[in-house]
Amino acid sequence: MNAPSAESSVLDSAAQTLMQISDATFAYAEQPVLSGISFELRTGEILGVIGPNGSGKSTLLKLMGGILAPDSGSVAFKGKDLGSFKRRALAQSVSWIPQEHPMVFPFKVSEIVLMGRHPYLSPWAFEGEEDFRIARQAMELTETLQFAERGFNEISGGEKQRVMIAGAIAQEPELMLLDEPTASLDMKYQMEILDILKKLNHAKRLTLALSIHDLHLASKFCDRVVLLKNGRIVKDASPEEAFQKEILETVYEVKVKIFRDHDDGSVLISPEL
Amino acid sequence: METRTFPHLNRKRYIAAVGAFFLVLTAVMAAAPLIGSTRIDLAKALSGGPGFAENVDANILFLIRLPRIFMAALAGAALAVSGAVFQAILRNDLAAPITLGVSGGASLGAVIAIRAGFNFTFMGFSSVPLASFLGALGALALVFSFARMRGRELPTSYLLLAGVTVNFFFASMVMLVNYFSNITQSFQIVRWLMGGLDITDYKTLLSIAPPVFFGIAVLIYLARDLNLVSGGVESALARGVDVARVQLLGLLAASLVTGAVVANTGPIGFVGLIVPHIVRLIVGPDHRLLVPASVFFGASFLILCDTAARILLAPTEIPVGVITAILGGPFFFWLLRRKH
Repeated sequence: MNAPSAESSVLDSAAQTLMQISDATFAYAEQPVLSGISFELRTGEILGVIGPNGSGKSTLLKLMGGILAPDSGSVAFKGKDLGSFKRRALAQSVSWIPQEHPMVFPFKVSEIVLMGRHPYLSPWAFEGEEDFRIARQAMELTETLQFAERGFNEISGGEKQRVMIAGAIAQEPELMLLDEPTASLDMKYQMEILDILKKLNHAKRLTLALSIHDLHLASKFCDRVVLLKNGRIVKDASPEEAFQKEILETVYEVKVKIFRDHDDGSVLISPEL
Repeated sequence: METRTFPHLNRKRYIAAVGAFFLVLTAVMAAAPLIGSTRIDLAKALSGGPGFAENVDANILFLIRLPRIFMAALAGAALAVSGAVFQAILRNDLAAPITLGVSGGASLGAVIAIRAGFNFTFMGFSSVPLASFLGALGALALVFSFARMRGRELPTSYLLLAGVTVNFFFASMVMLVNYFSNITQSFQIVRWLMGGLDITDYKTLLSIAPPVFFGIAVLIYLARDLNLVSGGVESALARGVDVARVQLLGLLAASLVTGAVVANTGPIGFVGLIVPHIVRLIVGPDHRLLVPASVFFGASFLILCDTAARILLAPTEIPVGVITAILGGPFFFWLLRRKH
């Protein structure tokens, strides 16, 4: 479909470059948020975007989703600059889920999920059998089908997050971007969300990039992390390699102790008081 | 394969729902001409006998009541549909031509055109509707730039404050223009400001109908996009909506229909606030139903209000804007209370 990028012809298919971010810079008004961001996202991996509040995580995910355009530098999906995509075409490949879901009007859960089919429908068309089948599958996968008829504003935060993921699945994307999908959820809901994402990653080889605050969860869940501080990448590596005492102390400006979980190699990070 | 595990909108349900609202409008339009301070004999009115001029029943029916009912239908449809669209684009269910200052802007435009004695046509629009449309756009631009300034999500209080400020500002400007007008123009302005559907002829109707129908067609075309935009700009972008285009087309079309109507009827408040709410309670928030249903229900609603205005204190008539305000004021307070 798209011309393969120069690199992907060299690497084997398991490590194809899906998204390439090159020297991207972004500022709101005069306030710089991101500068000199370069990294690449490979097909099938789970990337964690890590960093303190205000380090630019949300903005980076928006650049990757084409919600915002970089002031300089570029973001390319499968070798093609995001700016040259039609909105509809991009939405068929990349989905983005915000942290919060304010909904003024009383849409039902099923209606929200079906909105994921928008990029496949012409202006006058109604959803067809194929769209309902895809939406239903997405709801089964996220276990939201049982409350498909409830109002979106009547369900809990964890349920809303699952519904938004179902809507994003209905887009049938290759890349899903999630802004703090586990924020403000209790442990059970956090695990539910991460389980769903893991399933998607395995079953559909869906590439994931998500911002996440909990470093322990990040080290369990992500193949790779990008550590941000003040809009710059401090470290781009595997969680084990990136979550080192010196690096985290620089990024978060607190003293930390690091424990290793010998069962799965994940790390537990505790601030020193 | 069993896929219908949840009810959903399809062509059949769409036709049933929109058709029901259309039937209501048809019934209202059929009944309203027969109601009034003077009883008319329908058989006599329709008996195309010689001498239309002498046929009092036919005169009342065809020259007074019918054009007025058509005017009410156009105005009600336009105000209701623009209310629904403003609410979607601003993501605020208290948005309406009156709370956004759009009616005020349209009034100022029209009043300036009357005072200056403009008399030209541009692309088939005469000067007063054109000035009214520009005024509506100006007000919207003011409120919208204010909304943008406050960031992505605009709290209700800011939006209403902006709307009230813009409305008040335009009302003062209208007074100023009126103050510097001669007695004939001033009378014309005051008469216009009182609002009303009674001074209508078929020629006026023919000049209003095309922009109103065109604007409504654009808004129906945008309906599914409006669903996504009403859920947030960024999530709509992520779902493949060209948000800037939807906002621009939506606001232009809504201003066009509001301006076209307000230029002729004067400001009639609250239709754009009440109707989308009632329709949403019936058909839900999907704009594919909400937009066309608001068109038909808005038309029915204003015809009913105007019929009440004609008969409640017969033979005296109450301006229809008074009726809609009496209904709309308490309704607005109820909405505001429910929100907080």
